[in-house]
Amino acid sequence: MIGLLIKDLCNTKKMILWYLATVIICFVVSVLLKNISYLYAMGIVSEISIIMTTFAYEERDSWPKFVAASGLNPKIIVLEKYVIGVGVGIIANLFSIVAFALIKTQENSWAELVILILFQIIVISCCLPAIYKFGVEKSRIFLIAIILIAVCFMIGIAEFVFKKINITSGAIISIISLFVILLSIIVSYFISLKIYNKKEF
Amino acid sequence: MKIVELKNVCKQYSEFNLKNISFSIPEGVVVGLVGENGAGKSTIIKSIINAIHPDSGQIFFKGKEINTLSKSERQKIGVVLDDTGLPLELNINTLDKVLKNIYSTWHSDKFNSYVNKFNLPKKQSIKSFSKGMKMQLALAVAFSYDNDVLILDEPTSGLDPVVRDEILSMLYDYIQDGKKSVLISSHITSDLEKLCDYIVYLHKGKIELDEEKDKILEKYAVYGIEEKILKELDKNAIVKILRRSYGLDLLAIKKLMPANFEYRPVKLEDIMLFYSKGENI
Repeated sequence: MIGLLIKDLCNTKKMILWYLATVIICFVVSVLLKNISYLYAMGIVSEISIIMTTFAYEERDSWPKFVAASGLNPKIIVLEKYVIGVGVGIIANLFSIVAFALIKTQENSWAELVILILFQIIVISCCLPAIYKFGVEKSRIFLIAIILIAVCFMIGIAEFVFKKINITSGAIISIISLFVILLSIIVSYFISLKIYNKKEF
Repeated sequence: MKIVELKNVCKQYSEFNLKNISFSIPEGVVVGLVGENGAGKSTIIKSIINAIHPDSGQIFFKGKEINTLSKSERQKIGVVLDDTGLPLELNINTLDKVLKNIYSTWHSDKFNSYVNKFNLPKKQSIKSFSKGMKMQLALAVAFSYDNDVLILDEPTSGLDPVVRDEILSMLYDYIQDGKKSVLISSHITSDLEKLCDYIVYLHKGKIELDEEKDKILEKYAVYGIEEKILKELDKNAIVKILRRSYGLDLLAIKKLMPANFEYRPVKLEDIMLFYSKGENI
């Protein structure tokens, strides 16, 4: 997997630096305006863009055909994309956590941030199988739909958690979120793997 | 010993079918896969390298079904793709690091010696290379890990004669020890005539010829005749007929034709032309 990671990181090196700079600017803006949404939105955009770019380069270079011929295990090939996605997500979320800590007031709780991170992971979990299934170009429209559905879903979940069942304990929300994060990543990984195994290049 | 063997491989697409493909690549020989564009050459190669899944049939590598090969066994099949498949944003130094972590038997020293031999720039991104340089790099990659057979999909397509010649001489070097085999697909038949021991000729997804190259060139000949003479000839001698404005061109079995008829030696290009455009008697 290390070879694949080196390839993807080197392929998207310039893009990663550009997004890192943008995330840093958004971090400063978010802290100054006491509003994390700029930073958070940029985190999601950079995560999806970097993943899609790695796929776009692979499609352009006919890499999938080459890597299929190399005998690498499909499980590793698919897993590497999740490592990239989650890795970029972790970096983006670290900025969000620090910004949140700096601007945290009585009105907002850590549970809100955890819900936002959960949303990010769910978006990634939906994106990767879609890209494997439809390819980069076709999946763009699909991804917009996914994000809209995920937003509605998360608003519904938040409403349900905070109001209907009145869970306000950050610890419980964090545990539930962690469980949903892991579940969504695992389910998504196996769906992607199934799609990949049927794919022809 | 058969290094690679295909048995009744079929693959159906909406506009194209690969029909019951069976042939083998023996140890130490070069097999040329010839056919016009769209004949099914790349589909066969993709089936061998695991890039597509045949609908039916079996492919074996050294007697073991290809789907059951481990990573290290699969890497014994070297591959050179027409579009190289290499990540174009990277430079050669980074590519070396990537491939070192992908191929179990990667030899960086060997790779660098090939890169130096071809004068390929190590710090420029691969996308800035010419087509010939990219193909040289793809060959350098294939020669830098231990493999027993090399599968090449149109490696000389779109290249000038000088680079084509260099690539062919690299392939000569590869097979020098007599244990390594090559399957090379091309529609540039002159390249295959120089290099191949066996020819598999494909037409519309079906194998029309699978014979030793020298036997093909010895067995067949091209005759130019007038139409009225056709009736007098042994029908078993005539393989294909091409109607021309000046008469008929025949692809025929030399020994069944009248000895006093003038002919010219057949080339692989003729075989391709007769099979794709010619008619049966």
